[in-house]
Amino acid sequence: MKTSKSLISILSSFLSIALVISMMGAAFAFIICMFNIFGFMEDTKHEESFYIFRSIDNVLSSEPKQIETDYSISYNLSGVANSDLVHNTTLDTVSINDNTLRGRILGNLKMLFVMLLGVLMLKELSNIFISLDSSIKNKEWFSLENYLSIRKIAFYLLGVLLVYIVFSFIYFFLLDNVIINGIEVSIFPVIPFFSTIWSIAITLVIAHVYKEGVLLREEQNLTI
Amino acid sequence: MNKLEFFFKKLGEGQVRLRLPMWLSLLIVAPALSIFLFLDVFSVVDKFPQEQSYYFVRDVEDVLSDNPSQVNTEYNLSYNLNNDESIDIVHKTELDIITLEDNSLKGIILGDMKSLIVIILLFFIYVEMTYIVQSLYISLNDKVWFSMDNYKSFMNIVKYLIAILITLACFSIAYLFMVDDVFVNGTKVFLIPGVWYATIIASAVIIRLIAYVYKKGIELHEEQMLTI
Repeated sequence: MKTSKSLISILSSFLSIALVISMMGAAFAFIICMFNIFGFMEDTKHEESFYIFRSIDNVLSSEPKQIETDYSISYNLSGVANSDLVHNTTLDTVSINDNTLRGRILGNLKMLFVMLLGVLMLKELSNIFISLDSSIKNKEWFSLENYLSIRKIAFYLLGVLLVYIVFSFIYFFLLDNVIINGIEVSIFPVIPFFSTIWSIAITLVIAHVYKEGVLLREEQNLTI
Repeated sequence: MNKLEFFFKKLGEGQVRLRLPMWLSLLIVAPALSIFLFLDVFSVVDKFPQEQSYYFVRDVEDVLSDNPSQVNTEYNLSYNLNNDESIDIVHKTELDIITLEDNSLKGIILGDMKSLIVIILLFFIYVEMTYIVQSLYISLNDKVWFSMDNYKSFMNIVKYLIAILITLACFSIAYLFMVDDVFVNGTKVFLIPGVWYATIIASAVIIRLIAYVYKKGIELHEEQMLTI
């Protein structure tokens, strides 16, 4: 129990500091994005990642196509030399760069949206832990505010997913004739779909169970 | 109340746990896995590659001062973007993790032991998660959202995650002591274990805290029952 209380206190302080830093970071990033869009800075480009497939039929029927690039590696293992092996690193995604004004606007907009949602999530998470930290003293572990914060986190996650889907599909429809090492490939956007949906579902379930705790506490307060 | 409802109600109350499916699956999975690993050790089946992954750094000082090093490998890429001119470029893919292979008998035994332990622990995590989901599903009807069994399941998941972490760390560190003179594209590099450790630690901490708050719900529920 003491471990959990210490963890809550540590995470509460850590998240408060992280929130301040991330808000400062977001403000700084906003200025950088403006410079980026108007081309005042070098290395401004928009990157979108896509899975690669050998042909369009593979999109539905197969694993993403992997293209191998080689590197050499050698090592001694328990005194036995494994010298100069050629290893393959498999390439199953490809990043497309767009250094035009459109690319800079889209890329920076995407970054701003994701960053804004990230800061909002961190704010809610920080609120939850501050509230839990104060619960160590006042023993009020279940509050409606925390329930709302957990639900908001789920919706912000959904927002991040939507941003990824929208921006990836814009480029998906703009692109054609993608050739890697002489092989024409079909592409499909890399979207963290299943992991995000899974996280949203778990967060909503936690929120629901937490809400039952809030109801229990309210009932108990009424009984008293 | 029919038999099925009664069974689910008892299940939700934690009086009957679905131990049977768990042990049945274990009875099927464990012998199958043992036979496969036995065949693997004696090279009857195609060798299951025994691999350990590591981050690497260019020199020892980088371990404390810098991010892991990256080795670039190149490939050619061309594409049309919105009917603009075709763009032909040499792209670089950055390699920040390398994998060591050990196909000796020792390597196969160590690799198989690691896989076996991790698979069994993942299986236990899956079983505990199933218990929690089943129990929450039952709670939709009986409205008992906070049960001690679920709390125990949360805590068990934390223990299994820590066990996975220790297993991975032990095997990773064991190889770290056995390997030396590692060169990638001609550059000598130093290895750092720890590919998945941060994720596992973060998951364990979060689940531990959820379990703690959940336990407060159980106490609240018990107090309410006493009041009634």
